[in-house]
Amino acid sequence: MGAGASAVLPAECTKDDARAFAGERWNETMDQKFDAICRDGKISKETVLQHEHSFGLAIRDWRRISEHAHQLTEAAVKEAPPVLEVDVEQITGNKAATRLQGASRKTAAYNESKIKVAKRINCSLEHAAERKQNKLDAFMSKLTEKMDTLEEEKQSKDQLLDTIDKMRKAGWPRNLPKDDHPGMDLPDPLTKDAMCDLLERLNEQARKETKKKKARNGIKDILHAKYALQIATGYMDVVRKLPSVVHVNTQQSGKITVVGDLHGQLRDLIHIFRHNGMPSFDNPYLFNGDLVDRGDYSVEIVLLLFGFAVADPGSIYINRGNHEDMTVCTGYGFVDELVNKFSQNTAGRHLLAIIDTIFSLLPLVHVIDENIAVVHGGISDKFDLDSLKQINRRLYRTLTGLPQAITHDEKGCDEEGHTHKDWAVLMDCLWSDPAKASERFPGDLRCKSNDERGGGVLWSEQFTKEWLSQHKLGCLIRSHECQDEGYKTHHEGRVLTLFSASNYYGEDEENDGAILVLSPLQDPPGKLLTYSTCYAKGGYEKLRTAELAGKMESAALARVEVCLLDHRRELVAALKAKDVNGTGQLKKVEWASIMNDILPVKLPWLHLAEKFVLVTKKGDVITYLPLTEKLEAMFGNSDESKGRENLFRNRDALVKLFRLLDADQSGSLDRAEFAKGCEMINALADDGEKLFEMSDIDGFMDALDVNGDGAISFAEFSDGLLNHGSMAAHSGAEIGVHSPAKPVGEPAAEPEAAAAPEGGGGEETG
Amino acid sequence: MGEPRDETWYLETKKRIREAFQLFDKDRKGCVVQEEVATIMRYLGAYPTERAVVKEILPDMMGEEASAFVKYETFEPKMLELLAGGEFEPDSDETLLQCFRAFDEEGRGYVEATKLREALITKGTPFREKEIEAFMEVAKDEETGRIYYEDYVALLSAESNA
Repeated sequence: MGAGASAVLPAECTKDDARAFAGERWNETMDQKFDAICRDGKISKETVLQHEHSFGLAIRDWRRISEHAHQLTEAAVKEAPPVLEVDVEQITGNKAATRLQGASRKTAAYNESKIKVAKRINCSLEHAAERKQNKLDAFMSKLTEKMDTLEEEKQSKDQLLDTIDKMRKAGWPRNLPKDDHPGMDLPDPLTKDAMCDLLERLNEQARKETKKKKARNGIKDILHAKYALQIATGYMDVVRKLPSVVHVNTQQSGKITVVGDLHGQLRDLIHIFRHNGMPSFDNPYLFNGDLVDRGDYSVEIVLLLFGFAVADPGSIYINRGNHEDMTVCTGYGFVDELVNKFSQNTAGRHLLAIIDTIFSLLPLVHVIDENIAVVHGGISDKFDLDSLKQINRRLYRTLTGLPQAITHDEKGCDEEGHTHKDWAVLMDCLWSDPAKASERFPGDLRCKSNDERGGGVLWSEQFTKEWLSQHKLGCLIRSHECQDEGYKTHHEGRVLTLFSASNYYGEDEENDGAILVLSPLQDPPGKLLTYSTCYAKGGYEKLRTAELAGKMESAALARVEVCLLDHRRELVAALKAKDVNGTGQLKKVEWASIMNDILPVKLPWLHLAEKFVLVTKKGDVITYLPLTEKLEAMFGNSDESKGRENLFRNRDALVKLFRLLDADQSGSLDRAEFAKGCEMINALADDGEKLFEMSDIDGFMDALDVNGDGAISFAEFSDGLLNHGSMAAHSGAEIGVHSPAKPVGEPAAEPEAAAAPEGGGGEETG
Repeated sequence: MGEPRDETWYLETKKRIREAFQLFDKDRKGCVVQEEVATIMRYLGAYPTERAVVKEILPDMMGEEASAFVKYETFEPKMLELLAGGEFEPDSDETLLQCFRAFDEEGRGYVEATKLREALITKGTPFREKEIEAFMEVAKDEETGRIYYEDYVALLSAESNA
């Protein structure tokens, strides 16, 4: 208690009076505040009392405060205008407070219960789908095994990967002891739900730490190193299969969101996911390098992105940036951060080594829809995309830490295989900047050394034009430089800089962050979104509980709708059978019990009624027509529509199969991927009889590749399966398929395999 | 509130109770853990205080047995009784507005946040730090520092009917 708690205040207080009143609670802030509001060195007694809180009196002088509050409310009640309604009891200050507190608490309780119920709905839908999903997973893992054995023959691996692979065969890292670590557990295999849960926890933790200016421990007590290793090794499996230049197409998803430098600013990542949707196969993200360093939460960002990429393949693409280089990371914070958060044990050292490897394996360029190139730094006259593909990028764990013999000697090379030529190309990719229009290039030079950076080049507007037309590309997206608006266009708009870490240099040097949502095959072809986030000013993204409850509820309902579609024929029939007079109406209770009987999940249908059907005013009768109409509109009622409906039911299985075959995760199957898929399926056939004649793969491929672009998109793939019956009849012999229905029919034959998860698109956009 | 308590009401309410209960009855054994009881009650529209749950409601539902679970047989009648009695129904919008007006002496349609803050952390069943923060986050207009209570009450009622 403050020493001066009992000091009496005069009507006009000097600073000494105020200080005596505050006692031990007096501090510098209060001192400054006093100076700011005083007149002639004095402020009124009322002002002191009024500002007691804003003065930052953290220790509550309970008696004084309650007295003050009492006076206030008493005064308020006395002066309140007479209440018009007579049947309401006169409400005094104390009662009013109780009631208001009650109302606020009740709303909080209601929202909390809504969240819990949404979680239970998700959970029970998952249970219903589980058994069938398991069967599907078993089939898929068999396929994967086959794929891996095919893979192993070709791949040369370096030592670390070898050691790690051996350890993993023995159950590492899942078999590491968790001891008394208080953190959460992750499932194996990783699920998207678990990753979302992790994301929420990390956000909450980071928010707390930043607001209260605590040490940045982030993930330290939230996730044990063994799970961080599980995520990292999982992603290493993904990234080691990727080429240096990844071709992505948006036919299936319709869009892709490009994100620039994040530099460990978790709040920006969370903001992006909240507003632009969680990453998924249908809402993919491309992160254009520099995920780490400078910010406080680099470890969290890489583990989250790696985890989502593993849990939901095709949802996350990552380019290497100049900071994805352990030599750079040693100087700019990531290594320290990693050591602080996972340190002290062998698991921590393994994690560092694995992330180091992952960095060296990250692709350098993504090309979207053969139209837009995305690279962290830029381009130069030392390479084109074809020559870039030839470089063994995994040799270059670090670019800045190589010996001078490589970096300074134009003919330099060493026994490990590093060459000056390859090194210079990678430097140019990751470190270059577009030249300003005012920049002079001597003679007919297109590029010159980037002296300010000490690495990469400055390239001219003329060179942008030439490079793009050489590659038949429309424009170039790069990051690497902070921009006030989060983005900047160069070279007549052909080059875009995208930077996604807002308020990057601290809160006084404000800059926006920007992301680009691209849909090159659609109109409009994309939009730039800018934002500014900040934990300390309360501008961070924390959803109000009510908003969160709403979002979670609508996500759960979206899942329920998918479930309804799966059973629509039985459902419509049952509703019409019960409604003998054909009025379109049923008792609410009758409706609920039909829903319960037909659908494989037990849900609170009476509660959910108004979300699905029209409830009459009286409340006990419902009109089910909106429901049946909606269900019928989805597929039509004809027999031909059955095939399409089956396809929809099995969407999960198809998507899984497609992703498995799509080794480089480009969103389409090229010839090699397709051939390997057929080979795998041949290898799986029990009787040793080949289902596909490998010599006729080309014919089969052509039949599926309707638009003739040399690759099979997901749409072509699923259409091909839809029509497989007629294809077998017409052209089966020609294209060398003995029984085309069987291989693809295998996972698809299980009619409800697709029951839940994929359709929950609402989860992301809410 | 104002619902007819006829046979249809009882029939439907029983079913609503069963549905809500089943959501939390994970193993389909006809029982839920004690901690979930308050959540189920809130979902059904009854908002007892934590104290009332522990002191009055749970003992009635548990009977003599000492157990971590509450059985459906004992949950349903007590729940039905509470819902029929309307004991833990939320206050009406009009009552809430009256309460705010008690602090709005000049009838301006708003209350200064600082003033209400004082009252809510000292009077009634005082708000804890977290609760007052949650309240202000929803109720306070950041720019003016005022609470426009008609808006707040409308928001509450919209959310609980959503």
